Amino acid sequence: MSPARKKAKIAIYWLGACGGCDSAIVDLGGSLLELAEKVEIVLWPAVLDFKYDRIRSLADNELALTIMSGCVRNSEHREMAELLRAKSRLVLACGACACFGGTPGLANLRQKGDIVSWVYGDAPTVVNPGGERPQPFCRVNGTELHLPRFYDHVHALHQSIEVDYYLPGCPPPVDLLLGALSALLSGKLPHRGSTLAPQKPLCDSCPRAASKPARLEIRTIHRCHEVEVDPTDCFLAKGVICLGPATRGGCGGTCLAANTPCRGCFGPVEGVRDAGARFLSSLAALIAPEDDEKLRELLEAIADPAGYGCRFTQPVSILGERSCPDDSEEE
Amino acid sequence: MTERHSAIIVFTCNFGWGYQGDRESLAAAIANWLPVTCCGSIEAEQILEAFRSGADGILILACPRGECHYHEGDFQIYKRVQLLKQLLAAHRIDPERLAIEFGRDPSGEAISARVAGFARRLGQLDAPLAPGGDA
Repeated sequence: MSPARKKAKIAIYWLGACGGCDSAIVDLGGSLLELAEKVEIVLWPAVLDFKYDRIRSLADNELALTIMSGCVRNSEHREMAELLRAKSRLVLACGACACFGGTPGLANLRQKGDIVSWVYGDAPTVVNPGGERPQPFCRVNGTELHLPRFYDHVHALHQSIEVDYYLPGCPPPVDLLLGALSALLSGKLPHRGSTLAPQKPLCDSCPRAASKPARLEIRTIHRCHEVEVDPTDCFLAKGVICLGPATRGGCGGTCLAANTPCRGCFGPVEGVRDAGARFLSSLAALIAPEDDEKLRELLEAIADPAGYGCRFTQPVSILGERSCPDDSEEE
Repeated sequence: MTERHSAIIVFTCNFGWGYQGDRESLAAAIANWLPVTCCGSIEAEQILEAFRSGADGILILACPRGECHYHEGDFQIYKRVQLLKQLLAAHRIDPERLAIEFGRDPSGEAISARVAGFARRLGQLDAPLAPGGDA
């Protein structure tokens, strides 16, 4: 057997994704080239041209690893997730969308019909006098064309298939990505189901922590574009909502370095069931005014608390979690 | 005995409600009664899990404002509830289904009446959606 045939095979695939996680893999740079020497990449639609039939022709468990990014929003996502699961010994949910549903999960705060009406009709930039809507299938010049079935709900990957490891982030940082790939491909496997990132909240490693007062109190609320915060100051101490207290660390503080508060893309810290609920609880605890009128004014100044809490994690939240529909059944 | 409202969860603070009453009688009369040491200890996740499990409403009976045994539990749960109401609304759950009332009732005899009043208010709301479900 030639050396090339002994290489471990891996797949990199995107479901409902923006491609940011694929960009993060490309950002591995020289490490990616070293990786490509050691493994055979059999599928990577964002970067290379492969055919799905090649994947279907593989034996079950023939792939050492599939790195899967994106949420599960339609039947094609689910079909590919199931196919790659069957062919892979390990599946890594890569990025916030695969781990928690991600920002696409905010769509779960709207009903599917409302979203379709807006996108194909009501949005001010849409011209659709015939009221055309996407159909699951249609016939064009005698050929029947099919579209994937659009689910009612955005799902995280583990709600569709079994996931072995999780790597959060939007996108995951290069150091954690490299560490995850090294561990998973070297066989030094952490506990199955692990999140391959630090367990403590971002505040613990925040470079601005020194400016955080011992007793943090919020008396005014500013959105981040309304005030210029000194690059060394704790955002919460300045009344700018930051999800650092309730978000897993490990991101490297890239948003903080750009003078932007944490948005929560690393999801909840270890052991927390609902990131949004825990964040809103921690935020509530910091709100200082006891006078009813001032308290009401401050609460009203928090623009879209649910959006802050659900930005990356709605599909895995207590109120948002739903199992993926069985494609043999009508929703 | 109070009419059973099986889908209403009732949290009461042990320092303000029913601490002189007969616990067994109260428990028999109040369905889904969850006395807690301080309402400030009620976690957001408990509230959301209750709705997820199909609760029609959650009533929190806390101590009078400013009279918390632990200094500020009443204030903390009040703020938590206000933010959670917005989370519920975003999920198309009427925020009126989560209510907090402040007061003191050592015998606990008023709890059933409070629950009945809450049930009447819930009865005037639109039917709740299934958790995470579309209409």
